[in-house]
Amino acid sequence: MSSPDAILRQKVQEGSLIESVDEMTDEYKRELRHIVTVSGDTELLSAPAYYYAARKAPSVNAMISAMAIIQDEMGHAHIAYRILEDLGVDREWLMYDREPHEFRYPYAFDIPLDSWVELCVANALYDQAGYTLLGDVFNNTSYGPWKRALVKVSKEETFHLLHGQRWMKRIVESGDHGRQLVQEAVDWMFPLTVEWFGLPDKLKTHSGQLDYKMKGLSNDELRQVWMGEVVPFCESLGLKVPAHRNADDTAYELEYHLPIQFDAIDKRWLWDEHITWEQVVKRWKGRGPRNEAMIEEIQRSRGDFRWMFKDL
Amino acid sequence: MAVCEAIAERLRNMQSADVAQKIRPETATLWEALREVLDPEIPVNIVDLGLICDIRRLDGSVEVDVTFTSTACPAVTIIKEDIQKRLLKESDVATVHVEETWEVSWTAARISGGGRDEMKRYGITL
Repeated sequence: MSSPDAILRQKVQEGSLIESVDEMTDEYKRELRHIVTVSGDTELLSAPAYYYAARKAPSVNAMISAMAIIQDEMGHAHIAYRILEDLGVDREWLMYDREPHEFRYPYAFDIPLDSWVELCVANALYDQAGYTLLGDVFNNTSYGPWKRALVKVSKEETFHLLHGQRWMKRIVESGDHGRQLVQEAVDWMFPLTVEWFGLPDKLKTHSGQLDYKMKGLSNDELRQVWMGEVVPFCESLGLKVPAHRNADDTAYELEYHLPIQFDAIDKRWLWDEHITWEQVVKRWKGRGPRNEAMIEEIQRSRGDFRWMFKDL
Repeated sequence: MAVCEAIAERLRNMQSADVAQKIRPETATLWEALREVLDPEIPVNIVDLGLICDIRRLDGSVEVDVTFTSTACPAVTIIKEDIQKRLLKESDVATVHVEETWEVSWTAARISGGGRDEMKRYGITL
């Protein structure tokens, strides 16, 4: 006789959607909480990460675009946290009571975006990663409320991507100086976004998220989808990226051996310094330079400024 | 000219009253062309969204008046670029000047029936 969890796994693999907590097993709920927390935290932390660079917008219109993107990202975080609330997670706790290192988002956002150029490259590369991940969730997830909420999210993420791509093109076409700045940003952000998709499949023996069909594609498959968009785009602008189609033209392959050491302060990869995945995971969990400052910005209304909000 | 009038008439029947009154035979093909330009946030074309207020042409030069759904629209630059790029593909267009206008207040009443149906498909009801 199959366990309730095995029955549920089979049901979702056959295409059924889960619509309420009553239909979930504890294991399903735990996996769902995990993946939606990562999604919500990623959206939330993109806001202070992008805001840091948005202050350097070259015009009022550019600033308005960047602020609209930031507002969208906060809206997306709200959607994810609202879903978590249905799963029994307290929203106030999510926002205000966690320590900086307890937020679950890609390490890339911990590296400061110091200029408008870096913000635009982030919109093109990081938002493409977000779009890839959420697009897969939208197409495949077994949790109905999340699937429906992503219709709006996906449309807005398309705008973020377009914003990044248009600005990259404009800056590259402005001349050698602009091209060099974009290339420098791509040089450190491309490998960081490759890491965004997590450990290689060969190191992951089992994925509860795939078993419960919370998403449809594995880490390596998602990385391929991302490269399938980003590599041709960068090449169309004459930018160099450390990846190309393999000899059989069946997939993209990296021109360096993962994993390698990253200098988070100078924002550069030490291409010849090979490390282990354990060291990478340790770096991710230890968080990067902007982690604490960003969480402080988010939690400020419950910190030094609590007195202003006591009646709200 | 009869063909242009036929295109204008067809477009007028598709659009809201405010937009329809501005569609003239001499600019009908340009209105038609701009139906290929999508809003970057909601994939509905900018004519059906009611953003195009007027199009004037004198030989090869074209002027387009465009408004936005809010003064803080984040997509102003992208939309203006896309209008220019699309109209310059027309063989009889040499220059395009895109002017932002706020004399027309954009309201949802400017959205065409087709635009509303499209938005509904994306989960947006008006």
